[in-house]
Order: sequence, then structure tokens, then C-alpha cells
Amino acid sequence: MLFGHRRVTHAKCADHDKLSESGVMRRLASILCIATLSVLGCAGNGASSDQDSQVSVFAASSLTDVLNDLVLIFEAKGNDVVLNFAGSSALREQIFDGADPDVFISANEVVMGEVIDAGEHFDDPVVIAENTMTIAVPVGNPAAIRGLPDFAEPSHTLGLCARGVPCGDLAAEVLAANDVVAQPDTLEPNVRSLLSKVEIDELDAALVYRTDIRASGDVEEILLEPGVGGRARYLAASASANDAASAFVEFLTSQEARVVLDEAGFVSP
Amino acid sequence: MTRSTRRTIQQRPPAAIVVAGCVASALFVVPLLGLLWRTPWSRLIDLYTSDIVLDAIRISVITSIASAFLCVVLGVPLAWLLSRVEFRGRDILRALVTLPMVLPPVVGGAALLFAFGRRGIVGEPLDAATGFVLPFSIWAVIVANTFVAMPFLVVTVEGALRSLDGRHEAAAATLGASQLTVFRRIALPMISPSLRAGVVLAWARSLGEFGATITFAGSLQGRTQSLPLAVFVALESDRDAAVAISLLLVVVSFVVLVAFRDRWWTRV
Repeated sequence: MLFGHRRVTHAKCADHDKLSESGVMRRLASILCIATLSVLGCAGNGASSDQDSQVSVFAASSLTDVLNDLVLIFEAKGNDVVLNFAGSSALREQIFDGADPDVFISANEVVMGEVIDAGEHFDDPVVIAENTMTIAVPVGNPAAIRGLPDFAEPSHTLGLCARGVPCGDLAAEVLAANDVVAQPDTLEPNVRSLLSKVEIDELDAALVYRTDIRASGDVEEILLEPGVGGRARYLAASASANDAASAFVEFLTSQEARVVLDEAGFVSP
Repeated sequence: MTRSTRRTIQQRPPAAIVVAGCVASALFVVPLLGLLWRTPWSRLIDLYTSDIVLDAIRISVITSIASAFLCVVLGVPLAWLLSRVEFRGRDILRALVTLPMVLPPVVGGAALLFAFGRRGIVGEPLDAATGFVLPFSIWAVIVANTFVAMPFLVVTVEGALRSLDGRHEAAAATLGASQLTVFRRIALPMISPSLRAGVVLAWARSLGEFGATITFAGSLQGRTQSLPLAVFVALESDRDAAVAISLLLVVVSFVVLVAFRDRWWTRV
């Protein structure tokens, strides 16, 4: 990550002084701070010329494909966009560590709320898309999975995303809301590793986002029964008083962006 | 330590080498400082006694010891074959054995899945015959650990066997000892420092194994979630826990490497 480094180091130096007890640690810390500041200071001067038109975007990894497409359209209008993808909560940690994106897009409303509440300088978030939970099964559905109750069946080999990962949090929510006590065989750290195990038929079924299935050719989709819930909202917030950033968020809610989002399996808000 | 004393240079070392050496050391030391810096000291006991961490410790202890055991039982004979028997394709086999040392572990995990998964070339017939499915079980963790750790043992032991003075073995053979007896009574005791070093390396490697395990065995608390997997999952949800587990892994590995390295390496 290149953006926001100068702020990071400043914040860390202050921390070091406050926290360090022993003289050795303090001396070490200050040496480190001076070293990093001098390096980053030089780098910062060179890059500052085109910083106004460059928008740094931190986005939930489930948006990777669609956002890359959208950025191509947006960049044709003159602004450069730098994308950084990770799980929403990982991005939250990066922001708390001092990374300073112009736009933050979260797949999780709670995570977005935490970032706003922590006093990070963002405008009010807007909903840019919705995604729904669905069941991914191997081609041909060999275990004859029919719906959410199958996830309580111990004889099936089942996978979910881990808690703390958006698809895992939403899956846990959906299962709990429908009184299904899931019997997973694995809780994967991300949706890609989960889906790849379905693709090669090592898992009978997995709960994933609909858009993840669209992006992966080699699995089939079993729709959740109507009324079981499982909708996730993607929220985008732009840094306060940053025209390029708010232009990007505005673009994401435009009709032009909608078409691309719909194609990728997202639902318009 | 006698050897290192002999090599010590009395003159002042060249500045360029000292600087490069310091930069190299910093690469290892600074991340550790970062870890210590982030360690939630006051919560440490609570974190170490939480269910997730205790389960992960149990899985890690069982699987790392089991795979170290497998490494010895299977790896020592392999090392002996590679060092003592001439056969076609020996060099290729030797390269294949060391491949897991340089391969990204995730690749190894995927390959294991294609081989021993329930749709794998070995896994499917195994499932059909016995109903035993390897992935997502603690056995899968042990297999993945052994896969990445055994090369360390084989390389260490094979090197020791090859550099062994052959006269002792030859003498025993002329006195009528069978090949197995020569191996057991002569070669094995003579290479025991290397063997122990190899075991420690293999054990430490399997304790830290992540990529092959997550790919082949998945991650489930109490069944397959070892300490490195717990770190990775905790990074998403509870970073204090992630840092605490990382610290535990660092301390245990460090203590073991320091304790055994000086004792055994230098004597080899």
C-alpha cells in the first residue's frame, strides 16, 4: 500500500513515544521512525504532483471483478483510480492502522459503521449494490442438495466461509434466522478457497454470494427458499471534501454502473 | 562451538560486509519487534486459555508430532535408499523429494487434493473401497504436514549418510552383518546428530505449516484448525488473538531451534 503512508508513520511515532517504557525501545523506535520518514518523505515529494486526480479505493474483495470493469469506464472520464481489495474487516484494520483511502466500500454494514464511528473522515455512506446468499453445488449436484436444511445434515460434506469474513457472517446469520444448526466440515478463510473446493467436488455444498457463483464457471446454483433472507448491502463512503472521491461514488450509483453491476449478479438497491 | 571459534577472525571485519549483515539481520529482527509491539500483554492469558487457541494448540501438537514421526519412519529409509542404492531415476527422485521445499505450499495442498481427495486418483478408489475420505479430517492435516516437512529430514539425513566414512560399514559387512544390521547398528548411531537435527527441522516446519493444510484439510476448530490456521482466521476477526498465537508460535519455534541447534548442528 502506498497511499497514506506519511500519516501512518506520524501516528506510529506518536504511539511509540507514548507507549514505550524502556529507553532502549524508545531509542530503537525513534531510529525506525526517522529512517522510515526520510525514505517516505523523498518518495512522497515525487508523487504529489498528480495526487489530486488519483482516487484510492479500498473495496471488499467480493467486488474485485466488477469494480475492475467499472474503474475502466470511470477512468475514461479522466481520473486515475488505485484499487486495494481485501475482506471488509481487513480493510477496516488497515484504515485504523492509518491507511487513508479516498473511498471505502464495505460488504458489511457493521464494519462500515465502525469505521465511521471511529472518526475516520468519510461522508455518509450510500448503498451501491445488494448481493444475495445462495447455495453453490458441484456440477450435477451429486449430493442432491435442495435447500438450507441440508446444511444440518452431517453426512454431507459442507463448507462455509469463516466468521469475520463477510460471506461467513452472512451465512451464520441466515442459518441462525432459519434455525438450521449447520454441520460444516470446513470454515474457509475466503470465498475463493471455498468455491474451488466445490468446483472439484470435494464439498457437496457451500453458502456463498450469488456474484461469486457468476464469477466461477464450474459450479451450479441452488437458490435459497424464498423468505429465508440473506441479503448483503454494499456501502460506499467517500472521504470528506474530496471531489474526485465523491465523483467516483456518484458514478457507482449511476445508471451506467448499474448495468455492469446487474450483469455481475448484483441486485440494484 | 569449537568449530566456530576456530573460524573467528581477529581483524576488524570489512565495513561493507558488516553493513550488509546488519541489513540482513534487521530483516529478521524488525518484524519480530513489530510483533512484540502489537502484543496485547494484558489479555495474553485470557487469549491463550480461550477455546479456539486451546483447540488449535491441541491440533498443532498432535499433528506436528505425528508428522515428525511419519517423517522419521518413512523419510530415513528413503534417505538411505537415495544415498546407498544406485538406481535409474535416482536424481529425478531426489529432486522430486525436495520439490515441496521450494513449491508454494498451496500448490502442494491442491496436488494432495487431486490425489487423495474423494475425487482424486487415489482418493476415489479408497473412498469406494473403505468409505474413508481424507480431506477435512485431522489425517489430512498430518498428511499435508508430512508432505511439506519430510524433505527437510530426508535432505539432512541423506547428506549425513553420504558424507559418512564408508569403512565402518564395510568392516561390519565383512564381519557378516546384514545390510539392515549395518544400517541400524553402525550408520544410524553415527548420523544421530543429523537425524535429530532433521527431526527438529521437520517438526518445526510442520508446526508452522499453513498453505497445504488450508487447501487440503480445510479449517474447522477442534478438527483441522492448527495454530497457523487459527492465526489466519483470527486476523479477520480478532487481531489480538492473531498476534498472541503468532507470538506463541515464534517463541516455541525459537526456543526449540536455539536449544537444539547449538547442541547438534555444530557437532555434525
